[in-house]
Amino acid sequence: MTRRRQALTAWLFLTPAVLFFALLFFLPIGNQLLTGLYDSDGVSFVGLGNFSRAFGDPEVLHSFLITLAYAAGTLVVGTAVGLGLAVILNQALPGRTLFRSVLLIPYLTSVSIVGLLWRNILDPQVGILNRLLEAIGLPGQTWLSTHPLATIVGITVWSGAGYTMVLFLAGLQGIPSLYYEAARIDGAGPWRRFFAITIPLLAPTTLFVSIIGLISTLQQFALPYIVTGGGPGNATSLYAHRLFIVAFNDNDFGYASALSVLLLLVVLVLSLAQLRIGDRANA
Amino acid sequence: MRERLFPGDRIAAYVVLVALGLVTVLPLLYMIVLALQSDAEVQSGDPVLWPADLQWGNFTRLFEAAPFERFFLNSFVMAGAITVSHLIFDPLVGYVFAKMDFPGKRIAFVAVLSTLMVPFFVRMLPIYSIFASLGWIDSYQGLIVPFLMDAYGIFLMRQFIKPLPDELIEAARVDGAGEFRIYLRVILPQCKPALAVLGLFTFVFQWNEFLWPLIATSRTEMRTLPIGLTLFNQEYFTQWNLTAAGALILFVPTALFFVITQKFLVEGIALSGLK
Amino acid sequence: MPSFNRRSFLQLGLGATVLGAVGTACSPATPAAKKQDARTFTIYWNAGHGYQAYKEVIDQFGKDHDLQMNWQKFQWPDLTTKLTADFRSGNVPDLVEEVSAGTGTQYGLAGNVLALDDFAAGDKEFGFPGDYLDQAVVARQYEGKTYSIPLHLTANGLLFYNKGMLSAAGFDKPPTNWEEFLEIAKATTKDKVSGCALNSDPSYAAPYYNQQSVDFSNAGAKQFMMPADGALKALQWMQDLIFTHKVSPAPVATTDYSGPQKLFSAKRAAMFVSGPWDIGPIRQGSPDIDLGVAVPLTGAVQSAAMAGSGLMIPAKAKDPKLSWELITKLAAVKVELAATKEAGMSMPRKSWAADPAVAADPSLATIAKSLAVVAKQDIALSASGKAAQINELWKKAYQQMIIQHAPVEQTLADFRKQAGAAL
Repeated sequence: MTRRRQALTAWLFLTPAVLFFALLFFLPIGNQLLTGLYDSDGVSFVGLGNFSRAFGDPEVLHSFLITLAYAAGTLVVGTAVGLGLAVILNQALPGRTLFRSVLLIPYLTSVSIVGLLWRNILDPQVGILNRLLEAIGLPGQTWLSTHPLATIVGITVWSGAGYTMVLFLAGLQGIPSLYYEAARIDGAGPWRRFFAITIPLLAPTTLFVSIIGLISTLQQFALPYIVTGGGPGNATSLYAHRLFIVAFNDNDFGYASALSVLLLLVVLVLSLAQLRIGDRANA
Repeated sequence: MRERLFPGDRIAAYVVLVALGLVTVLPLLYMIVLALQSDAEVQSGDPVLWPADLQWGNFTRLFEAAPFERFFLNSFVMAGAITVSHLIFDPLVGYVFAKMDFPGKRIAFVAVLSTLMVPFFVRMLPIYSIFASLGWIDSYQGLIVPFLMDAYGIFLMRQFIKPLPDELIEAARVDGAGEFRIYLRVILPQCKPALAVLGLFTFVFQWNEFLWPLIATSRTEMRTLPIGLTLFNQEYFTQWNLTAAGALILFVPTALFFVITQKFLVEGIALSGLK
Repeated sequence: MPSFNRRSFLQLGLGATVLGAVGTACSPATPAAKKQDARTFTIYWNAGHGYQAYKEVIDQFGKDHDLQMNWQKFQWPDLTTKLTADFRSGNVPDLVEEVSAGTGTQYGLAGNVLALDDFAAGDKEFGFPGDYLDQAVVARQYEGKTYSIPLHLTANGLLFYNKGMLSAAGFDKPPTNWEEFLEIAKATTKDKVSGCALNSDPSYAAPYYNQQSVDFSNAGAKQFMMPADGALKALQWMQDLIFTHKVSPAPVATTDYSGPQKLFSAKRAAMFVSGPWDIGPIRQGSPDIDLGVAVPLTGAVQSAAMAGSGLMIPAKAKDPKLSWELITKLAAVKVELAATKEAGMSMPRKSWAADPAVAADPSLATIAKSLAVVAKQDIALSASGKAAQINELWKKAYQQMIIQHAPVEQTLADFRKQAGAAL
């Protein structure tokens, strides 16, 4: 097949996607971008004023930094837990289907329910957890006040670990068993096979998990919105939560648009870097 | 045939699984306890480990308070249609990016990926304005169209298709198969596990979607389940028993979908030519 | 050549549909879409206020005017989000419940809701503003225009106390001032019981600083939480209740305001300050508690903070006259009395307060007394359009002081600076 013909075929296959993304993503996002050049009243043109304002806004800087911390924590812990579970549950253990299902349940539960549930459980005064700790003679926790961000990371990992596990399971099952048998004949032990075959061949899955994880954590807004309202103080006011507040609480859509464009740029740069590293490692 | 990683590795595996399983499942069991409490127990401020009298009536109260069967149908139509659309489009686009070479590929891929990086509420208002002038508010197309496909699914499929051997495609081409036929008959059958995962996640995500149905509907008969659930919070307190009962109803279809795809996922892998 | 089959045509078809759809979207609004809605009357309401009394009025209104009544209930934050989107797209409801006084002014000055004075002037029988408590009216007016009609009127500042716990500690009367409050709180704190419980929501701080004659804002002069020594005294006192005297647990930062009520219901707190909305949950959840409800405390002055929703008409409502007619029916005194009987809600009309059914009820009488001492609201802050943004800043500052034990003077100074900059 000629290059030209393949190019035609490719673009033909892409036509629905091109139309969809153009009309339902780039058109509205472009519209927002234009809004970003205006003041909150939507009338006075401020050019890049909203962008420079963002760089001098301590609230925005704070939310950006805690979002990075939140993303790093969630990615590292979440990927480790998910991969560990997938490797364990990829074995022929009796009852593995049960464990797989149970571990995925939190992911099947709506994030608003997850948020409300944990808010209820963790409440130091009227929550069930402290009542149970008390009953077995342990001191009560006040994590939502003392370690709010780590608590949000914990809830995120709790609800997402099963999802990461399933992706890794699907990746693991896509590795031809032929490779393992060949390695075994060559005398490679289980640990060696894990590092020489499993990890490299899982690279596309790992890349996917980490990019999607990065993107979704940088956009996390539901959990702080539901569990802590961004508090105490502004300790859990993650970037997207801040953005939502600027748009829907402060009604400052120009500034919100500028903030969303900045978020887009940051995520884009980070994921392209990840993608490049991943593809290189993969090649 | 199994080898030992270290003595007692199997026991260690079970200890980890049981511990994490309990951490996972206990909060959700607590949700069932919540759903069966009486109003007085919810208000009492003392966490209740087991309700004095199981209030199964909380479930029927939901259906009396609002047309939950209609909310259920709406959620099902919305999440179902979006899932089908994703299963049609995402693998096709993912295949193009994984296996074809064409000018503009890198830019097109980055453009698609970049759409992942904008929170939905950023493009929500312009879409809402457009749909309002189209008369699409309070309609199924209004609920469905913004989510017909997404970069997430495309990326997922690309990652799964990429490691498939190119020889499969070349062989089919030599046999004279057309490009679309190659995709349909050679590539797609290899992707069953990934399609199961994609279908499940898309369904779950859309089933639980809150913000768009909130904005895009303003009639009770077009509301979806997650919006319906918020009807039970009072101004100054949460009516926990009803909210939890609703959450359980919300959970049933996703659980069923999971049970179905879980089976299919295993079968799909067994049938795939990869092993 | 790519081979085509049914599925690829389906895809092309879908693509074309999307294109066509959005193509039409770029053309102006289709009249067909508008016509279909002409007989539907849409109302946005708070999910906690869906009283039978209102339902009957709304159903009857639909019958009288041959309208399909679309009564939509939301949580307050969801209602705000939805309304924001609606105002920006022009697709608006016909009548909206206003979360609190001042919100309507903010929308009105942006041209999103109507000034209602002409309607009220042409409708003497309705009795606005004559029959309404002054504070509830004034807080909704700006430069001679009224942007919403009060629906409910309540006050945050009532003192809830557990009679049994107080008398066990040797007190047969509730505290009336801050010294007594602290004394009783110390005496009732023991083991697992706290003398009092503060709320994580900043609006619950209002009665305390109001009682030190502090105004939250004076937007005209760009001042916040002034006079400064009163503000310092109030917030420091609240912080000390938690961290120095340890008579209140530190509240936890959640989006739920019912923490203190739950502690009280669980007999883990002897007193707390709140509004009438907590009476019902306590009586229902813990009928064995001998609940006392007393008038607001006196610091430098006796004061409470006004709360309560209103009604407003979007500027682009289909038929504002019809919307006004429904307001007059919903806010009629007999409907108010019915809602009070049904849900215990307190109301803004003078004729409501004068009704024998209200005057004879002891807890309603206490509420009425606290309504008489509600602090004046800063109208200029609502008019600035920045109220929501500044409240968010205040929430941060309040939680830093009350939960994270940040130094009060410094935190207040930072808040004043940030709020001033936001204006």
